Amino acid sequence: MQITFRYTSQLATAAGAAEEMVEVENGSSLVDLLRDLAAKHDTDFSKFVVDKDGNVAPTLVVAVNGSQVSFEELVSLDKDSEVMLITPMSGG
Amino acid sequence: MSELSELDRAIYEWQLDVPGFGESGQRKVRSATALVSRIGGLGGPLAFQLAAAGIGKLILAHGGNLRQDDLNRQILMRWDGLDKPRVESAAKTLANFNPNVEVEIVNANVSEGNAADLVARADVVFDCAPLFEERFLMNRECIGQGKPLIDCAMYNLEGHVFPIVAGRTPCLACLFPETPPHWKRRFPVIGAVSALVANVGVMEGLKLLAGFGESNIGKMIHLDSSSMEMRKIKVQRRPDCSVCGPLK
Repeated sequence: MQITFRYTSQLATAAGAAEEMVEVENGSSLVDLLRDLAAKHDTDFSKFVVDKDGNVAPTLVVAVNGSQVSFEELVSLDKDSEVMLITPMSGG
Repeated sequence: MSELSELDRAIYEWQLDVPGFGESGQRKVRSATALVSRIGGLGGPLAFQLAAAGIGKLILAHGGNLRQDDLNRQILMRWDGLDKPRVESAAKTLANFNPNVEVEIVNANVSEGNAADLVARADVVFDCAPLFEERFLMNRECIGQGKPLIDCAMYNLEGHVFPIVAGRTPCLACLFPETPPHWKRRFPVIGAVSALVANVGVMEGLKLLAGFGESNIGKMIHLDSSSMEMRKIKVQRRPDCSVCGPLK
């Protein structure tokens, strides 16, 4: 099924878009999804999603349908789900 | 809590009529001190609106002199303040706007040396700093001292506001447990975006101070001015958070 991934701040800049439709297999874990997503993109994007060891970046915040989820969680997604990947911002 | 003067009633007349805010809310705001860390693109319009709302006292902490490339967004500044301390320009603007708001300026950024004292003297803290080291410091002090922290941030056409209350919500270190390795000090932004985020931050602060409306503590309010969409993200507390984890 196709799921909407929404990107913020530097991640949106790296993706060149604020959202992307991603093909997701039923039963996928969030960690696997994020690793697959990182592999699809270049390092300008993937560095915000996974670290050099392939672990999910600690400063990436993932929200599903408006609630933050932990990477270890088994999240059930359906075709109407929105996954939001939030990277840090600051003042200035 | 101090009573409103006749002058207060005259200045704040329009907002005294706001249901749920009224005289009681105005007295609470008028009796409060707000610390604003950095008074640039975010903190400047934020401090301006707090002064307009009739905050009792502002403590403005920001080191360094005004530069030309500050002027697309730092609306407390004035052209004749170039190459002079930003806090002086800000204090002058605020005094011209409303001399009945007490303003204390600190020509230094929040640091290990001053964070505890600055937070101790405030009822609410607004974090508008560009460096995560400063943001984490304020988060630590606010959690430790039980002071509400309104975390405000921006990038490009987006921003977020995250109101934090010690013991009741996740903290900034729950959200970002370490300094983001790829964050850059210099980033794209339009002044109207920083002002938009600042005004949302002010409203969350005023609601906490005066106890009206629906507070969004523990939620990240994400604003995207490109599409003009707003989303609220319920943030999770990290049980192993190094800052707020020990709190019950």
